[in-house]
Amino acid sequence: MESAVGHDAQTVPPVHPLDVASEAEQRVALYLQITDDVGSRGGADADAMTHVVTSQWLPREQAGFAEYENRGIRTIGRTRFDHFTVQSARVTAEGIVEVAAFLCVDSTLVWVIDRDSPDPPADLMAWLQGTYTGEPDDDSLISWNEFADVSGARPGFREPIIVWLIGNDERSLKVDSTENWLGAHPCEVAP
Amino acid sequence: MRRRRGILAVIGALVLGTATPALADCTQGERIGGECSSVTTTSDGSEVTIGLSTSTEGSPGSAASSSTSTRGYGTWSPPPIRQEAELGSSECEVKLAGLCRAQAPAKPTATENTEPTPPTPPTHASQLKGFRPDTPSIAIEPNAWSLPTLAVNIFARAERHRVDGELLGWPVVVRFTPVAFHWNYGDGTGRSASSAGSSLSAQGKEQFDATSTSHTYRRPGRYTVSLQVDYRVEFRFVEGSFRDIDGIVSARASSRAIDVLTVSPLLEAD
Repeated sequence: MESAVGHDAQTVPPVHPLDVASEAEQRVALYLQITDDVGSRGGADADAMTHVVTSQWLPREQAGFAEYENRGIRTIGRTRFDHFTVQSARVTAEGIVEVAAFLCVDSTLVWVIDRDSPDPPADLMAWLQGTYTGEPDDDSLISWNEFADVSGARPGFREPIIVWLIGNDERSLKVDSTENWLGAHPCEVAP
Repeated sequence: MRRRRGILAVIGALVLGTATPALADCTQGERIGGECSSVTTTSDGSEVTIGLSTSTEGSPGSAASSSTSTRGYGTWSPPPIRQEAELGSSECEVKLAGLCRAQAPAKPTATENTEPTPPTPPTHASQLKGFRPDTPSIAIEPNAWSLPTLAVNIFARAERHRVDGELLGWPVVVRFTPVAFHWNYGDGTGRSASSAGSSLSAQGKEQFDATSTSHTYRRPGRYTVSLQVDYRVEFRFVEGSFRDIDGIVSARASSRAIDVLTVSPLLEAD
């Protein structure tokens, strides 16, 4: 069962953040991975998000990816994250585990490109996936830039994010919303 | 209706220092796709070009400015792999294999310019001590009374607003946007929220309906409700455009008392 929560904090028992941190981090990692996967398909099969988001949040995901299809875009590359920190965890009066976690989401190695773009150079994909070793030589840079020109590539951002997860227990947590954190944060420099 | 998330803001402040709550909901897909319109950016209409870095067009006579890929928050910038500038232009110092690999220093400004130069814009809210946000206020429904175990709608009246003034003789505008509401309900509990809340009528609710900002008192008595509102600060010269300034400015509302009344059962004679 997934339901909205709205009870005073003092009436519900807390959950120790350490007890749910690992599960929550894995779920967030999977959420970002599936987001990249759906994005790489240009928003197709957005229902795959069902595995990692609640039924309440799924329409938002579907609407967002529908825009990918409308705009004719897709993504390449892989989103990374760091500074994952569980900031609150509790069991609501309805018995729902609710977890809020902060993290720095790094999409700087995710490029938004035109859906009909040609396949990117293999070494560029390796670079975006973080598996490229060394510095790209000039030939690579030229080919990457040619691809960027052709594909209309636009890189993503590095942003502080709050993710809310809920579930019947800590092993069934799903993303219930994500928000941009506008306060102080440690995300300015990648670790 | 979104659930209340006061714990987060409080704990977030502990973890992150002078933190303020997050604001906008977006999916990660929307962020990557550039559809997360509620996220503010510091670049004014700048356009992301290609490569590993974002770049903005340099103004005439200046170096192309390499902007950041941290959306409006920081200074991290991945290494550029390409600049549009041509070698020999004021914007490209070294060009290899058709790519501008190093930027030239900014072109000096004209020396014959006798116009007074505006002061350096402030970068932190603490540099704007002469500018304060309007005082927020507390609204309580029903009007300053309630009953034990019933939800009383408590919300803030704090809007985004601007304050005009002068900075070193230059007319400037400072804009304050409320981003966090820190409540103390006077009964030993409190909450931090990112929303001000609103009246019952605005939400189409009845008296004692629970709202995202309502509070339930357990016992009769008189309680004092207090509120601190944190504001995000933007600044601009009169002719310029707003830019975010680091730091938060807080303002306290005048406290309000609420009477939680005793319920006495009525006995009916046979």
